[in-house]
Amino acid sequence: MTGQWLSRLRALARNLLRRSSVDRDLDAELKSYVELSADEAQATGVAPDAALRQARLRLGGTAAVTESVRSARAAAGLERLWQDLRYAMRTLLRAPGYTVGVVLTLALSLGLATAVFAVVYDIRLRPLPVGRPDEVMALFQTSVETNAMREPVAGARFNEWRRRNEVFTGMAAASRKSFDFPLQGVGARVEGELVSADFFQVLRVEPRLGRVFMSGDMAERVGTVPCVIAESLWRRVFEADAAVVGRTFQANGVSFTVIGVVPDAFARWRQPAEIWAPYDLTPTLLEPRILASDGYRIFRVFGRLRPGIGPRQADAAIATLDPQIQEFLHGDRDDREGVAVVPLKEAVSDPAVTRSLWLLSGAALLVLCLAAANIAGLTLIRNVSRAREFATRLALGGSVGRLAAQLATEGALLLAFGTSIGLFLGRVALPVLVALAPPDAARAATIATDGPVLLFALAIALVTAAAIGVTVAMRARHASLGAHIRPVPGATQTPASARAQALLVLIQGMMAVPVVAASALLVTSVVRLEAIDLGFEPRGLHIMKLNLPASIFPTTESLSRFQDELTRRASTVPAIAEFAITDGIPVNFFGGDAPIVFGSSITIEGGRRYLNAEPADAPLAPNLQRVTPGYFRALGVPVLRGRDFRGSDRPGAPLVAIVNETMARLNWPGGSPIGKRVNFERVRSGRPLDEPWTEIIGVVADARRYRLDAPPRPEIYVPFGQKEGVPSWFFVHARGRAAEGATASALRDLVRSVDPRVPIGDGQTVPEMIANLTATPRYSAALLALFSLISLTLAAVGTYGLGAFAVAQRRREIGIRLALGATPRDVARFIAVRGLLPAACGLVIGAVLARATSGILQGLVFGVEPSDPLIFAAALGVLVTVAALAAYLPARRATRINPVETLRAE
Amino acid sequence: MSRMDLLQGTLDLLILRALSLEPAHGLGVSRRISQLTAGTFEVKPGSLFPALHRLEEQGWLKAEWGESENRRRAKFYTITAAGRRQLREETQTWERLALAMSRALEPSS
Repeated sequence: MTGQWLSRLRALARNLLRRSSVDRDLDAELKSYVELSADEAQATGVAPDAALRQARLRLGGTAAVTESVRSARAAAGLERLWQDLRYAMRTLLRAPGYTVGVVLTLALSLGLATAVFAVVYDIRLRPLPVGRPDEVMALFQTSVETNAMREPVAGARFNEWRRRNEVFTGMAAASRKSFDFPLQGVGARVEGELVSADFFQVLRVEPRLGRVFMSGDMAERVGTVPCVIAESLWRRVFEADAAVVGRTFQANGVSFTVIGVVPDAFARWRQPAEIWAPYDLTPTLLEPRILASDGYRIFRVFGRLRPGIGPRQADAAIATLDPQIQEFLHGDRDDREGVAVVPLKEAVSDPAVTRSLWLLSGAALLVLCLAAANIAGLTLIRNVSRAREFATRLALGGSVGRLAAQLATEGALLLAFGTSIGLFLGRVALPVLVALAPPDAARAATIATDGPVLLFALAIALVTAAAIGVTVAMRARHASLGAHIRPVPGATQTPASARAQALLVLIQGMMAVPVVAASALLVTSVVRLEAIDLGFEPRGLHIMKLNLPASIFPTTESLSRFQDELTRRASTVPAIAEFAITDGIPVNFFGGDAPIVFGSSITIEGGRRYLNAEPADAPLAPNLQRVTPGYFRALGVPVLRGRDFRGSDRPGAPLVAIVNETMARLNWPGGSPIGKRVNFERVRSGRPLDEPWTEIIGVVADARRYRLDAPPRPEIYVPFGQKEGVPSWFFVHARGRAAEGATASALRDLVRSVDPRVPIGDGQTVPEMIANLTATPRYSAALLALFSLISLTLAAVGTYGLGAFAVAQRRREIGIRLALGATPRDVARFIAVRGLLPAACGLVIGAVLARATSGILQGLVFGVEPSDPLIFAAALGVLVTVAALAAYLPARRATRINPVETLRAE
Repeated sequence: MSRMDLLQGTLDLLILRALSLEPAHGLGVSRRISQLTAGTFEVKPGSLFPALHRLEEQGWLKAEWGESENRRRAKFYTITAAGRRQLREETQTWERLALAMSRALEPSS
């Protein structure tokens, strides 16, 4: 058998490589056959001429025999393919409009779809860096007032969940902590987490080096705390030392020993954390009373499901447990409190970002369908023009199979070009998409056009090809030879073919509506968001974070001195016009959508009391900030009543505070809070308040500093020094006189001149921070606008094509109508309606469908309802205009038809 | 004689058989088949040449240019060892087939 294959291979090579000599050989052989045959005939007495003729007849046509032999040859299939390819190339090049149109359409839509898919895959579909991620659930506390926003969990709650549940094999908790490492004398800060003892076990994370925490670690008290570090830290600080296990270092006044290194992927997922230490062994970093309290929601909690338990069961189980735990801890239940138990995958990304991503994917898919419909339509139209060519080929003896094969080859070529350009575009567009994306959305830098993305692109291309092929094939069945060969320039299109084209335009119209409408909604949202009155002046304002390690500032006095010195020196810096310090988060400093709530313990004289971070009070408990006297001036927040803080509001002076409008409205409705009093002591039942009362001396305007789409929080401000407590950071504000860069460096120089040991954290301009608040909506809106542009173009091209084709097909008919007295306007209307009708129907259907499903955009839009009729009307308006224009152009061409010419061209 | 369409396999078998006696050129093969089948099969060039070339590509025939009786140049086909093997196998298959068919078509007595 192998001998047979070898022989065939040899023949294949020969047929391909020495084609002409093989052909010549065959010619000679056939010629010799004719001669021999003639000889035979002559031998029986036939004349030479007649003999030759007979012989030729017997051969039956050299061409036919040659063709049969060629078909039977080993390389026949390949030769045919090559022939088809070359012919297809020629044909395509002869119709540049069609070819470019199809290739571009394919490339654009495929490129975009691939890029979007790459992002979606990385953010949503890539497996998480824990063992068996499907078994891991994330747990949150929620409350009705914050719209069931997922909040971290309090220590006492976690402990009770862990103790009482029967649905998890293990539960783990992690709380963020910043670790200050002195590196070469300069303060540096590393983010990390304080975790429960079995954190890594529950998550099943395998260390790269060394090991993770074990229960044995907790029992030992050897003076150093075991810690696990991330690869990136290992490389950066420990220089990838292979003997890093066992090395010790000091941070935050605690001695740590490295016991293991975990992979980067895990560290990146923990966003980003590079050190983990067990909180059981670091009481100075996380006080036991906070751990045991139900009031400080600081833990991210995970649980691994028991075998046989599903996510919903776990959710129900914890939801049942939680009220019992509330009773146990507080003596009563609160219905406004809730629990959220979600699979890990759903928890890791911001729901808003995920929704945006799905929206983008949906839009990309619609654009793809649009493109496919467009290409199918263009192909149909073109094939009708080539009907005569096809009919001639069939009449000359070609088979339907060969014709189909050739058409398929053309299609394959187009697809190949379109797909490769599309993939290239996708590759190019991807970094742009990632770079422009808001920080939350594009955390991982490993988004690439690798395996799954390529497979996706291929799959889409194949599906598109199949769809187009089916459409074309269905049309081909109705091809009728006679009609095509008749030399009548008009009416060569069957009604069925015309219907198919109209249907495709209708589909395009349908697909375009949701994309354009969604785009309009998103753009409106962004505009509304950005038009919100902030309540303060962000331009020119620069904020810098200063970390205050206890090692440098052990006492309140040392901090006060530092602060005073900063303020004093700031007034001498020419580049700084206004200067202020606060210990509260000034604006959306950390990015992201989650507001950081520092509810304070506060009792209103004659009114409510808010206990520190009690869940029930959370949305109403005022945000407490310590500020220096120039704070409101620096921010540009007007003082509405009373006065601002003065230099005389120092420790020892009467305690004063300023509230914002919202707090005034909530607690002293209808009256003025000036002169009223509050108390910051933590209330204990049965005991009177010891601490002195604080008087409200001013009311300032509300400033939206955290979220644009939520009402401002109640806030209360006190001067530094009048409220005890050592903050761990300052936010210094400077409003500059000069350019931004000058302000930033002036600030840095100022701080260094006062105390060079202080770690200077990030600085940003406030306009940047505010811009981050609208980053995700802006991004989605921009992308969707791009998609709508493409959809509009494609739909327009489709409509135009249909109209132009109709004109070309009906030239004769139009000529006759004009000759018979129809006005050019009648003709124009005739053509325009034909082109516009399917598009209009598609738009209407699309609008109805889009409106019905507009609910999915809830949560992505701001300031508008997803089903807002005005927006829909506007979107439809744009689409109708585009469609009308696209239908009008060919109609105008129709009016230019000279009836004399068309009639004469018979 | 009626011109029956020959199945491809049958034609191959006939060609191999024809050439198992002696090498021949295209026309010669056609004549020999006609002789062997006592005139039942007249193979037209349109079927013959594709079959000859196919068999040659599969390694069962060898082709060489030579001289015919009248000193005309002609391409001569010779059966190879592999070809003989194939002929034997195909003959056996055919005989089994023929036996089965004739038994099936026997008028029942």
